[in-house]
Amino acid sequence: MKENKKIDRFIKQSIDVEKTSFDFSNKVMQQIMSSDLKKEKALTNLLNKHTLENPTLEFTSKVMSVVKQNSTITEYQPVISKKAWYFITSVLILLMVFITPYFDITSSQLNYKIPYLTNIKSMFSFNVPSILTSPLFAMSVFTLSFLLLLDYFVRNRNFTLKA
Amino acid sequence: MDTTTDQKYINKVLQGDTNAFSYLVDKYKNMTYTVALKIVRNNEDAEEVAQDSFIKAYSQLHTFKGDSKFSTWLYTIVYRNAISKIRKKKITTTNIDSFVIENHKTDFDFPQIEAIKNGEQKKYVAEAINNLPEMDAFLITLFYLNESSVEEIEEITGLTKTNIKVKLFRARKKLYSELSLLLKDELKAII
Repeated sequence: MKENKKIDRFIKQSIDVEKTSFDFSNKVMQQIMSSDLKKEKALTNLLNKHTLENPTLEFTSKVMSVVKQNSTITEYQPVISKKAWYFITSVLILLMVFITPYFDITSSQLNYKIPYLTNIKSMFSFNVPSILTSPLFAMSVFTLSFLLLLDYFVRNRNFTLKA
Repeated sequence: MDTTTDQKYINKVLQGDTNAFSYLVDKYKNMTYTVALKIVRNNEDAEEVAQDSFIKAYSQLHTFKGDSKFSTWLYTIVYRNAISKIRKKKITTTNIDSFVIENHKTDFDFPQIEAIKNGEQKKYVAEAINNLPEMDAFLITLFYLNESSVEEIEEITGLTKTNIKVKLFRARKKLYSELSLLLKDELKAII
């Protein structure tokens, strides 16, 4: 009995777990990764060969016709250019600033008192209907011009935003 | 190089040369149509979504800053259009993100590899992709066909990176199983 136990112990000691080479784990992992990479490449090839679909032949022409229609709307140009509007506004403002103070709006006759224009005063002296020299008329013209100008800028801003 | 060429044509369009846009349409129409098809699953709807996407891209081109690739920006529009389309048509009854095809065959009857002619392979690949949930099919298409990075897919779909990776892993696993025979053939060709 003792003999048998000794033999068992001897066997147990002799069959100790064998050790693998140092880079065994790395090799296994590399094989797994390489297999995964190959599978991944195979899947990529397969999908690339068979997955891309084609739309109908007239696809581009259909898109371009809509795009061109849209672009003609956005290419709208105002009849009076921006520069022209600035010029007109400047002239109007200058006229109002320099000429309005010289109007004698109490009489129906316009009396200019501009010093540098005294020699041609007679040329500018003419009778106008009293309604045209009333403050109400001047205010109306001014308000109307201002609203037209405002309208132009608001419209222009909307077009810029759409484009 | 590709991005520079795209930018050159984008600049031309922005300067008023409308015809330059046809270069971008021709270049991206197939991929746009393909990714739209993966979500809407219907040829007519996919074509409509692709066309609308190009038209939207044209009208919004001035907002494209060039921080990402033009294709990424374009596919973001396609993705939103396609999702909006299926929501309108009520094809899906559950949330697209959590959509799972139930009762679908994971190992459908596959004929012998010898019998699968090249033309038929397309059918089986298409069927395998169609068996995936719409979102997974869309992600697989972007990842493999367009070679989009996870970051780019994140930008297109708005999903988190982790979510994208999980979905891609799941879809990839399913495709490996469904296309195993075709993949064996492909693997032989690689080796």
